[in-house]
Amino acid sequence: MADQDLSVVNARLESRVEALEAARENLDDLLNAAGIPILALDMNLNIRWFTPAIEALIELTPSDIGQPAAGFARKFDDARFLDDARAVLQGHPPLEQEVQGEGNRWYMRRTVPIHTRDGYASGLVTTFVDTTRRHEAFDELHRILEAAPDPTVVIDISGRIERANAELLRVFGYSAKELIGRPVETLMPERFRRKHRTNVRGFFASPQARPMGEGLTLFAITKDGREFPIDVKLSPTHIDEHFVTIGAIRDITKQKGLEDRLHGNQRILERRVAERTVELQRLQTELHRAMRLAELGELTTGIAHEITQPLTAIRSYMEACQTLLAMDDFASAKDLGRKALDQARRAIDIIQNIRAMAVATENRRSAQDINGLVNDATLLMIAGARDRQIEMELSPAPGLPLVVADRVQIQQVLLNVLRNAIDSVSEVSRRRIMVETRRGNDSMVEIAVVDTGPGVPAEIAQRLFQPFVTTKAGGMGIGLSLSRSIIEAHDGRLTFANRHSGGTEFIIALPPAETG
Amino acid sequence: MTSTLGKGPVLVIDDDPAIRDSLETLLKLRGYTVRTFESGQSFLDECAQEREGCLLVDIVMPGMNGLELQKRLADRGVDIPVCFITGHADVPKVIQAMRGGAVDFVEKPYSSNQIVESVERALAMSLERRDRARVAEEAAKAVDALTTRERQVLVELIAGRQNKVAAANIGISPRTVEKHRARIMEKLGARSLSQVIQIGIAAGVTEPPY
Ligand SMILES: Nc1ncnc2c1ncn2[C@@H]1O[C@H](COP(=O)(O)OP(=O)(O)O)[C@@H](O)[C@H]1O
Ligand SMILES: [Mg+2]
Repeated sequence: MADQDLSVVNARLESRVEALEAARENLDDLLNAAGIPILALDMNLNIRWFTPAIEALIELTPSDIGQPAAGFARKFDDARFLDDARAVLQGHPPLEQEVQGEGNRWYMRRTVPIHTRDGYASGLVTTFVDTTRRHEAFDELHRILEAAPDPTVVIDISGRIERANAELLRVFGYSAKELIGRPVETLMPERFRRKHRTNVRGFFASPQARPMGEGLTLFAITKDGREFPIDVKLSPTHIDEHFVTIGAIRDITKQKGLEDRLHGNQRILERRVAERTVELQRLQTELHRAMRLAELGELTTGIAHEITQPLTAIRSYMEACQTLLAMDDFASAKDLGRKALDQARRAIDIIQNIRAMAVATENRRSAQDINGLVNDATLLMIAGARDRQIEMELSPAPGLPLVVADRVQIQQVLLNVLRNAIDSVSEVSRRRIMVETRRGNDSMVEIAVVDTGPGVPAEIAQRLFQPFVTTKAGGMGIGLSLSRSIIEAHDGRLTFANRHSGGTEFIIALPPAETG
Repeated sequence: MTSTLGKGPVLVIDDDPAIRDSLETLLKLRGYTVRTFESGQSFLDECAQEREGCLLVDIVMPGMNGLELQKRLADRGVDIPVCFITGHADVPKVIQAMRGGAVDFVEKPYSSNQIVESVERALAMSLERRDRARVAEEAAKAVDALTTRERQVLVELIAGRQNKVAAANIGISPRTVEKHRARIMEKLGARSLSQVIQIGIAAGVTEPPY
């Protein structure tokens, strides 16, 4: 039974060894295929095994296994090779060293201990990872840094200074050793540091080349505490899979001075402009007031003149009337009485016009149906028009929007325009006046008064809307001026055009009431 | 209505038909002959040579205003008294009108009496001017009848010189001066030396430059 058992155990052991053999061969294949130079040493620093790729660094043949590693010529420059191996065997954590091989190649030599299951070191493995490309990239970076005219730093992803060019060290007064590995905030005055650290995080969240702290003035501080204004240009970049940011720092003390002076001048200029503006505005108000007073004076003079005319005639007629009555000439007296009354009506008309002008300043507006308004106003004129053999026609457009307006004022305007139209057609034989309502091109609501009169005389066409411009004997010349003020106070327009077919068209345009 | 064929004529120029009509009414009632015109131009067109009566002109009119009319008349040598109607005292215009020889100003709204007073003044001036013109004309005619020597003596008399001085000036004897003086009085129909001098001045006789 025991023999049988033993042979079973033996068989199992053998199969285990076979399996292990197979696994080892697999591992060898794997390591060989990876093409990474690996050298394994035992506790006595004798060669245990190696990958074929090691031959680029040490000349070994399979028969060299078991020989002391120190006996083989190394093709790389590495003074610490054996010392690091011994340290690791004595319990030191893995050690790294960048080493230069033949043909300007660079390797990262890594020496790692191998432990038995119970934790004792049983030997070590040294790997060599080719870092030539990265090294070249950093060389390139170095050349760029040293060629840069401004102090320049390379910052790693955690915001630590990885490199600094000679110019930076000179300007800030640090040695490379003092600065490399320190946070970049070392270069800033204390009061900016905290804020900057947050910004750096933001920057790495969306790295983009940009000027740092756009719109603000940044400051740097040297080792001996001197502050100066700077301009920083940040460029994020990859150097052989290694993410860094290059910061070029420019001293802008000189520009800053210029800028400050410029800012100062600008402020002075702005203040002067502001002062002049106030002054101008004051003058403008004064001018306006003076103009209003002048206008008022002119207006008063004009009104006085207009009222004086009928008043004078009335006085003459009535005095003559008294004489006639004393002479018992009643027929002539009656005639003069009628003439005096006509003049009284004329005076009343003038007064009403002036009253309308005063009313123009008050606001009594409401939504108005323009067709109804036009209808009422023309009704007032139709009888007078018929007496003068004038044909009057109304042409209201259906579906017009309402307008917000002072009904009395707009009617006053329409009456003025109609009275002018009646005056104009009275001079000709074909006497027709058409009053049309319609929607204008710019969506304004329009009242057009078209007459068959002689048209507006060219010599007053430019001044038609000025007060006291008239071509009529006994005309007052304020009808259109007043009408325009009223319409403009309603945000509307009062315009006219001589028609090709003869006659004139006056257009009162008012904005439609806002719906909703 | 009464229409006296009378004083005037009063020539009314105003653009306002009511003013024209009412002025015509009141002036005719007071016995004046009236003619009205609606503009200065229509007056010039119709009676540019009018010298009788007086003008009653609105100072403010569209087109040719009253002052321009006054100037046009002066340019044409028409000497007729002008009375202005003003709307309200317009100082610079009034000054200009006075320089132009305006007789009077009536401010609206005038009373009938104010208008009549001004018109009377203007018409009186018109007559006076005409009388003065007639006197001057007659005097000039009489002076024309004098001989050269007699006229030399007249100049000396107007200058108020004594016979002796006058004789020396002209280069004749004092007795001859005496003789000429008697002839001059006779020819001019003057009864005294002062009358001689008045006529001489009216005729425009002045001292010739010796
Ligand atoms: N429909 C029209 N046809 C011809 N001319 C006109 C018309 N309406 C106005 N005018 C001219 O515009 C002038 C000014 O008109 P307005 O201000 O009403 O004053 P007034 O009617 O008192 O003269 C009139 O004198 C006239 O010359
Ligand atoms: Mg009018």
